[in-house]
Amino acid sequence: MKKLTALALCGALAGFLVVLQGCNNAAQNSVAVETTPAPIEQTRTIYVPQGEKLVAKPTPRKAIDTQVKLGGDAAPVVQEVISAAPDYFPKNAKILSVKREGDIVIMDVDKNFANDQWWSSAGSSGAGISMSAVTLTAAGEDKTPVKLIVEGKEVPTLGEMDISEAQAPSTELLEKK
Amino acid sequence: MQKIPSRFRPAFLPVFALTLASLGVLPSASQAGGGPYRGAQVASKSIKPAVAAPDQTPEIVPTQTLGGPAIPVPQTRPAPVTQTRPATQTRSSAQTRPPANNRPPAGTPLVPGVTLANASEVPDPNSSQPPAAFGPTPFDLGRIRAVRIGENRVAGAPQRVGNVDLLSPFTEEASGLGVSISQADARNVPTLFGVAPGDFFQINLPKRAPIVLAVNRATAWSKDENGQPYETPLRSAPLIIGGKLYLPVFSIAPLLGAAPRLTPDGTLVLSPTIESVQLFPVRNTVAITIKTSAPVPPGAFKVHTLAADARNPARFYVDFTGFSMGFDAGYSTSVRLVANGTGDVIGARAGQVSTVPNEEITRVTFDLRRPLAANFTPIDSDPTLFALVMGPLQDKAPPVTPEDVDVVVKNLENDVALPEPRGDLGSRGLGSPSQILRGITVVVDAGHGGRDSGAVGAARSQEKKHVLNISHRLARHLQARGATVHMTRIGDTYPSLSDRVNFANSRRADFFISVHMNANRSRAANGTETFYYTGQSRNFAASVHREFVKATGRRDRGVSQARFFVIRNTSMPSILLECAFISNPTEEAAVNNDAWRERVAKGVAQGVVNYVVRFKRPGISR
Repeated sequence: MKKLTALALCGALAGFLVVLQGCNNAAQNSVAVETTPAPIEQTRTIYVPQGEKLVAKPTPRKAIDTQVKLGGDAAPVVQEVISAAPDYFPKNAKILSVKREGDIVIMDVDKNFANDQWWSSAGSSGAGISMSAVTLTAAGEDKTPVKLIVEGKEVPTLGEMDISEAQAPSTELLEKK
Repeated sequence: MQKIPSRFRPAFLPVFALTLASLGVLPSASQAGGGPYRGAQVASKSIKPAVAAPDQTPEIVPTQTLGGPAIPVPQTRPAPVTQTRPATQTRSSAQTRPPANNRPPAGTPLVPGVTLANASEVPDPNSSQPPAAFGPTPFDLGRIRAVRIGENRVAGAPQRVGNVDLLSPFTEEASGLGVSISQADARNVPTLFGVAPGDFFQINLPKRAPIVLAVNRATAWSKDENGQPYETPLRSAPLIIGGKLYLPVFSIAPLLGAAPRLTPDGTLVLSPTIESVQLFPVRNTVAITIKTSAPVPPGAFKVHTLAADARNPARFYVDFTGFSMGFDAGYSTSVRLVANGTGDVIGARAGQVSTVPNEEITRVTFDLRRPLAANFTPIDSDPTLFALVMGPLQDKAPPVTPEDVDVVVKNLENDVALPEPRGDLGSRGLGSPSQILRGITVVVDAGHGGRDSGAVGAARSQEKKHVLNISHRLARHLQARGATVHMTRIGDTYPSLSDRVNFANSRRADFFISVHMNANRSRAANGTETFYYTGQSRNFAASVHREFVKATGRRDRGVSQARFFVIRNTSMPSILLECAFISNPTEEAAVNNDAWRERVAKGVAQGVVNYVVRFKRPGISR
């Protein structure tokens, strides 16, 4: 009697599983139709100098540019800061790359960006707000410390500032909403 | 329901699970971590796991400060400054100061929360304790059993005020320091809420404005040489105890030019000091002035002449009985050079040759190129100033004429006798605003210079010129208060940032002040701001900023921490001042005004004085 009961249970289960498999196949067939996923756009915040404050501006970007933490290069995003406020940066300044290395973000800039004379003449307020804009943008949502290098090489100073080490970006200058 | 027999379970359940998986009902291993598609990089196997915590914002924790409120500092601060110091960095003055006797080893937990000054301590750049803080340590204060002023022992046991000062009722005995204490003249009393007129008293000093004090107020009020009022913070307030006025010894002593010395039996001896020795060329010979903190009684000084011998040049010396070397002696009694030579005088040395109680003798020795005679005469108009005019030995020494005295006094007033930087030889008393920074070395750094014009103003004025002008004025104000001042540049030159840092570190300066003008793309930006980087600079920045912003009269942008190279890599308390925005037309106009520059320089100097009085404790001679 016990054997019969067990066999009956197994039979019922087998029937249930057959039905279930059929449903699953149907679902898989419907996904397989979409073979090439569309590029995903995410909203990335850039921080643009305006007067004595930084203004946060949401900017749609390709996801690949925003995923610094996952190996992406956010240089185009940070370059947008310069494009949005060119007066706050040396002429023809370019961000070469923004990549994560360990627990810091390395921001590589070109020689135009690292124009020492420009940074020296910007005043601590002017230089501070420009530097905060790019580092805060490069740091991303998790405010990763950012180290600045110039065309692949470490430099000790930029204007009056000591940039020999990575610095956690400051949100002090952010305009309060 | 019947239980499934135990013999069925092991075989049945795994088979069941595998069956479900094979049918795609359970998620497979490749799908287990799956989420929404996030771009091609997601598939990369080279992705490193995130090391940093999701939020890198530094955690704020309070740190203990000495005598002040807890100030939050980032716990996860950047790497220590010492990692980035230039290789040529020298040790700070605190490190190089010779070990003090009778002090417990560093780290002895005598008083929780208080760092003992000790030569072996390595200054912590993030410590809130000034690295150059020196005696009295809590240990010293604990040893003091009695106070003596000159020859007079003060009746009444001294009262210790925590770890900062000592109260003693020395109003009667103060005459030994050449001063008297009386009820304050109503004309000298500041308007203070809650202080009765009878609670004010004043210390009367020879040839100086009186110093006004109030019971229960830790402030002293006086006037400088120009009649301008100023305030000096005290570490402890005077108190009335048992009907007697108790004065804070270590706060008052520097204002009187008195030097405290602790004897082995625990007596703190306050004695007047030799404040300065200066040499002037006068009428083809040399005049010497010796300034004391108190009038020298007749018979308290003697002049001796010595001929040259095999080892020493001709020389003469003056012994002052009852006087000590004072603070500019590096808090020691050993002999040191106190004045550079001129003409036939090679130089002047001074040292305390006797520390026997009641018989302290300070000897000032003049080394001569050839034997000379001298006529030593007090100056009537100032009992604390002596003039000495040299003359050929074979002739009778020329007497000091009123014209000579006039020349000497005029030179002193105009500082024309100080054409050269005085370096470590700078020496003046501490008894007035012009003496309170004696023994302190300050490096003043005029920002930018040469090819680096710095910011350019709305009217095209250049930052480098403004800051040089203010720096020169600041140097003069600091020197006028007795400080030894070194400037990183005195003209339109450009020392690199590393040069400036090495300059200050190699001179073992006590303070570094970098003077700048601010700028911004926005012409509306305005105000005065002070920056520091290391923890040891925080109190210094706050102290200077209070006076600085008062002097500029501009919007107070506060005190901030910032990574400027010169304040990050100097080993002493260092600040960077942003006086005003030259990009702002209104402020640029102010910056161009000489009166404004002068006021700013003076304000900064006053801020330094306030810090020194509050934090750099006068030491105890050994």
